[in-house]
Amino acid sequence: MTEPLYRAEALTRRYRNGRTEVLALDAVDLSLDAGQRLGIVGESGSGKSTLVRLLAGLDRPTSGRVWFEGTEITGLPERRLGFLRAAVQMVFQDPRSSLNPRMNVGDIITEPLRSRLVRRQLPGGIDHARRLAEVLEAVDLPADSGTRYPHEFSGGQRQRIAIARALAPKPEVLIADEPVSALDVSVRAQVLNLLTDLVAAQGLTLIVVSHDLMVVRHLCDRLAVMRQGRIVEQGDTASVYGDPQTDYTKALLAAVPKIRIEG
Amino acid sequence: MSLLEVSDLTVSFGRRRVEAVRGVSFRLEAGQRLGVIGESGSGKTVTALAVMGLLPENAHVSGSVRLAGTEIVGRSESALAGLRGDVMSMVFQEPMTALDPTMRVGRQVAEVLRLHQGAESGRARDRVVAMLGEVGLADPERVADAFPHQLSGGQRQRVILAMALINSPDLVICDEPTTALDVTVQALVLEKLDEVLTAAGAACLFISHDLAVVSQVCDQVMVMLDGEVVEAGTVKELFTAATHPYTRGLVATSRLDLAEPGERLPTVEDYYAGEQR
Repeated sequence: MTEPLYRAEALTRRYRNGRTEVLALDAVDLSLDAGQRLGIVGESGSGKSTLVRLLAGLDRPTSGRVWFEGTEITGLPERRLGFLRAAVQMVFQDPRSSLNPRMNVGDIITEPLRSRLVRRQLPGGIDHARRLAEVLEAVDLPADSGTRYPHEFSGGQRQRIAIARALAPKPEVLIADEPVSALDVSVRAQVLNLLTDLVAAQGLTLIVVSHDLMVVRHLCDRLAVMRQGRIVEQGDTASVYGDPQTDYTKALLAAVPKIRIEG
Repeated sequence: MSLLEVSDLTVSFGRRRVEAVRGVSFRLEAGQRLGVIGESGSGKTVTALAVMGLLPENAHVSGSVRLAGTEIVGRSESALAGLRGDVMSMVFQEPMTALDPTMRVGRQVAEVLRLHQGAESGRARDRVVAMLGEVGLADPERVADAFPHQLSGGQRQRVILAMALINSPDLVICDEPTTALDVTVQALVLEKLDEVLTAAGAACLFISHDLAVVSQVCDQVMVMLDGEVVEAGTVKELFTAATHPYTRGLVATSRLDLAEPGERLPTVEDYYAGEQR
């Protein structure tokens, strides 16, 4: 049996808030193969963002272990996480707050290439200007965008900038945390199409976190439903949608707003 | 006489007089619900602010907004303050910023009641608790004694709803009331909004970028694009026989549930080649 790309065992994360303790993630096991597209759905507070932060190495679990390509990342110091930082990139929910307003778009996108940790993992002599042009084209932004600033772009374009930045170090895994929930419905379709195309063209492994089941259904072939820090249901997307096993998943599906036409 | 009559409303900002809304006209009868749909920057929020008389001072307004026969445009702040919360009320997108973080929510709801009806605080409490119950909050006594940060997003938005409806206004303006909420909570809040509007017989101006959400509450929809109304009609008409290409694009993008997973989704640009977004 080949080693999965990601493996997590009994992942647990507690947050301390004054005297109260919050169990954000409760002994979650997970395994993900290269090339899979995993959707994680659940309400606010279900632990879905905590889970992907642990997978991306942005936070450390209270207990439990995570392996990436067979290497355990849970105990590694930051200086030895370079391989993970280069291979796993994140796109966040709100491009208004995830992009530095004082940097121009070219600097924002190539920043991961200049990182000391990531740089060592990349093949020598990556031409930053060329990589910038490549990723701008990949996300369908004008070639002269690099010299402009985030505020000059619309919400949908800013999310493309965030995606371009994530693509710059040629990652294997793209983790998107609510990639379209801050966007207008009319712009949402564009960004979803872009993600679908990029994942197919670059053979990326994709992890998408969302409270919107329709978004996840569209992007992912595997689905995990989370509630109160646990995965309550998982399987391939079509079967979870077609035949949800838990009442919670059924409730989530029923809550998706549908067009109501009367008269 | 219509409850709300907006005619030829134009709003521009600043010295360069950038027009955010151009020649918008519509009317709303008592008890009627109108959805205003459009993307960021289409002028839907500015239209709502003009109706409430809440535009910032650098706004230039022309045209007319008549609420129950009273002209809103050019009215003094003190005259408008009497109308707001009484004849009309509003529900904003972000419930955390709309509530005072230092005050128990029961007092905040009671304040609206006292300001407009002069109710005494002891008697106000009963009304407040009853209203919190009506918007579907379990254990309204406890909610009334809570501070905003102790409530969830959905609970806060329902507190705002209670605040907006406690004086039985004729018109409730909702600006993206559920955009900041989870789908499950959104479904609940929309259902409660529908219920309390029906119970109070209030008219509603409902602003959203999401056609599916608008259709949960409204039958009539008005589509805005670049500051102008490009199309208006019933939800059914827009779905079956939209005339403007932009509306057809909006309808197509709102049907994510119909798309085959992984296939290319229709975008607005397939139908309407406007500015590069």
